[in-house]
Amino acid sequence: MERFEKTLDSLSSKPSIRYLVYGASIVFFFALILVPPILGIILKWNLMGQIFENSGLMSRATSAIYSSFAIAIFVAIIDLIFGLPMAWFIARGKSRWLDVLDTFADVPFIIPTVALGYSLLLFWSGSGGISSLFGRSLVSPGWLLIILLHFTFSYPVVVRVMVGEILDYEQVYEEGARTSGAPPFTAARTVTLPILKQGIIASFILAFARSLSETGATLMVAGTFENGPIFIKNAKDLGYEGPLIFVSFVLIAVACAIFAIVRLLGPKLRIPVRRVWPESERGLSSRGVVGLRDGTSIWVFLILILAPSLFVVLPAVSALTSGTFSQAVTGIGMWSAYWQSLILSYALGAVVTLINIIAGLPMALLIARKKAGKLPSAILDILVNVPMVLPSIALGVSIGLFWKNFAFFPELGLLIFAHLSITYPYFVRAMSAAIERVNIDLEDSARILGGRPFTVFRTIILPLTKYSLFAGAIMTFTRSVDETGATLAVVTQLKTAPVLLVDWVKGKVPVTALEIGLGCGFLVVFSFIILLTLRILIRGAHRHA
Amino acid sequence: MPEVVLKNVSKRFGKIVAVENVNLQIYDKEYVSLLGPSGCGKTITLRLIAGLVDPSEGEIYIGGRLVNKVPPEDRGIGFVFQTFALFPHMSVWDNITYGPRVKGWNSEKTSSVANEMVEMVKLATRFDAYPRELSGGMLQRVALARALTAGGNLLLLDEPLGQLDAKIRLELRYELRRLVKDLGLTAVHVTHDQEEALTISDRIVVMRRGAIEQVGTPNELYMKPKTIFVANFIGEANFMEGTVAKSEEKEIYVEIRGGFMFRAFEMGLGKGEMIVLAVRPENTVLMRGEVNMKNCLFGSVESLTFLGSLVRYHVRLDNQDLVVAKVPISGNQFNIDDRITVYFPPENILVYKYPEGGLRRELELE
Repeated sequence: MERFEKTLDSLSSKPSIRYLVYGASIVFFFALILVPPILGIILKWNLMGQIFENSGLMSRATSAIYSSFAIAIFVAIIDLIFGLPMAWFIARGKSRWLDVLDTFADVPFIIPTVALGYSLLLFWSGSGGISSLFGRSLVSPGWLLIILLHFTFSYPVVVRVMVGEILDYEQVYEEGARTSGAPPFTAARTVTLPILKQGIIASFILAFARSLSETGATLMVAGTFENGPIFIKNAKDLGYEGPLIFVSFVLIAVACAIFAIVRLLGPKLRIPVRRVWPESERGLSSRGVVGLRDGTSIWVFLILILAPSLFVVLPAVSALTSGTFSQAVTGIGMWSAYWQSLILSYALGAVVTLINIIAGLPMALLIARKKAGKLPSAILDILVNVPMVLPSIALGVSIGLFWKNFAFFPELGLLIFAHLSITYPYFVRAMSAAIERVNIDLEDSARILGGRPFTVFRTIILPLTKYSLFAGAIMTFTRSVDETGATLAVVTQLKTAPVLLVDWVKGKVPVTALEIGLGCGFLVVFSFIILLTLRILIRGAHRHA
Repeated sequence: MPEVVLKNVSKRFGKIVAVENVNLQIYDKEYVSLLGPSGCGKTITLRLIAGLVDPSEGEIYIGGRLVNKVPPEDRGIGFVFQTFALFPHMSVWDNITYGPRVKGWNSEKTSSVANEMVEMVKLATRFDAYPRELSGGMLQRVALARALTAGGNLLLLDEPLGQLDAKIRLELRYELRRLVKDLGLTAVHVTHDQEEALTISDRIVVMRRGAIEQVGTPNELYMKPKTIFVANFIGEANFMEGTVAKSEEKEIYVEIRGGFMFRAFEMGLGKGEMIVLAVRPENTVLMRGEVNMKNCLFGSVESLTFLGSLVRYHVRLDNQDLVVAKVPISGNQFNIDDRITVYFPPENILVYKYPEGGLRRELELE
């Protein structure tokens, strides 16, 4: 091992080797991550015309596309409305219970989205859920349930990002406002929130992209309603290639456009800070109003987020006591397919994570240290984000179309490529941000003391960014295990666990509610164990760093 | 008007005591400095007055009103932060007029007050500039104008000159005092720079380990430091340990290490008591050769430094102690290794009880 490191160290002194490594990472990014999701569809441009000949399909497609964007924007807005006060409460509150609340806010993160979807389906419209309180199904599958679902899984994103932003924020600005005579609400509105604008925009984009992309859980709760991803899925099942390409193309194009607009205009957007209404804002700062706000945030969280998320525990637990559990562990009947899909999901996640680490690290360095020059690095930084905002099923469609041009391409390969595209941005972003935080003087002094480039990377950068590396790996892994849309788009034979569970819920296989509950339960438990193990590893790594 | 009173104020963060049982009265229109080494509790005391932190115990009064439950925005204060804390997303003008705007003043009153303050702080810059475009000195003036425009009569300054270059710091020091006096404000100024505190303040509050060590005018603190810590922190001093050998009506005789006998003016100390003597370098007299007198010790010049009007000598005594003396350039001068007698005039000797934790601990600056 030591000899291997020594060899790499001395190789890294050769400029040609460095160019090779960075060059390879750029080629990898363009050839495998960025281009196929876009080019695949464009190459099949000619097929798109089919849909214009069928006005019925066309109106279905446009209303599906419209629903997707309307829901995504609406959800991102209510995420901010309810998530921001919650984040504020968690970051600024003084209660001992906040740690508990903070941990629970992550629950929808930990639960794989398909399990979340099933949980919500049971909670809101199943006969044993909240409906039993009202004597009828409260929210039947359809657009309202989709909104509730998307709110549930994107809310933690906003809370997580904003808690971090508020904690990192230098409170001295707010103190400056307070000592100048501004009550808390005015100080927050005119000083703190405008300064945190970038974070707010980022969390909005994340929530928006998540909502636009999610497919598996949405399928479970949609009923007959169609949004973009569901339309694509249905079109694929029916073999309508033209409409499928059309909707994918529009989703990708509009998502890119919205992303670009927010990215370009966001910094110019000015939160109005000049006008102040002293009396009413003083009222809004009063203890009563703040209490009401905090109370509402907590109740919204408990009723709309936490309770529906955890509801799947009930059937899972009752399955444990019935015979279902022993059937499951012995792998009888459809359970053998279940275990196979679970193994495929986790193996796929592991492979994708590993490739991302190897291919993503040089890219993260390129971006963080501007190794390719200032402008190219900035451009790479933006491009790396692109796959993140593309609706994943559309991305999968395009990747599938692209690689099928190369004669015979194995389905497993498609699956790996699709998951790579989707997860790559998460890893590279986490790492490049972490590397940027490492003071470049440390690197320079290590070089001056005699360290070769790879030695410096190995002994300075890596130990200091270990935490983010693990965190990025976790994100990549869970995102891959969770992914349904792109998977559905590229596979015909293989089934990952979420895809299989969607089939179960959709009644493609005769199963009972207990069995689905248990299937989701296993997924939750295994994901939880893996996350916990990694988290403990990270803690350890963090402590030693 | 803004008289500030702190009664038995303590602030604890968990088990850490930041400020302990502070009693302090700041008079109307007074310029007071809170001085002490870092971690002494001076900034927390200022933030307690501002209402940015709540006291764990005790009462705080501003202008006779109990303000414990009054939020910062209603305390009628202006606050200048060490990092200035100018809002990065607002222009200079919007920063300066922030206070009036959030208080709902009409725009005429706002502009006239803001313009007056801009003139007071001699701010010559574009009002549509953003903070990131300004130099340190400018930022400081904007921060000051913003604090003043907020309309309080109580100006709280947290190391307001700490981030500036040495030269600008000296310049602004005097301006700050002039401004406060011209506007008839009460000012509380936190600093760790004793020279700054001495030149700027009416009175200085010396703090250490969360408690007040001494309150007094600059002159009092320099001439009559009540504790060894203050004697050491404000200015410089030579310290010697000794035991009272004889105690008379108005003076005592002290035996110090090596058997030398010192005379000092001090009352109320019993024979055999351990004490510490302190003498300022400028009150330490150097004489050529060995002169046998009371209050004299012998040694040789180890090093010397020219300070312009003064020469600073390091004298290594025969008992290996080091003594610092400052001699006016017009007086007798010496060379390195010259044999010397060091004379400590009795009237200039400060006498302290021997501290419980030992002399060294008392001189620590944490």
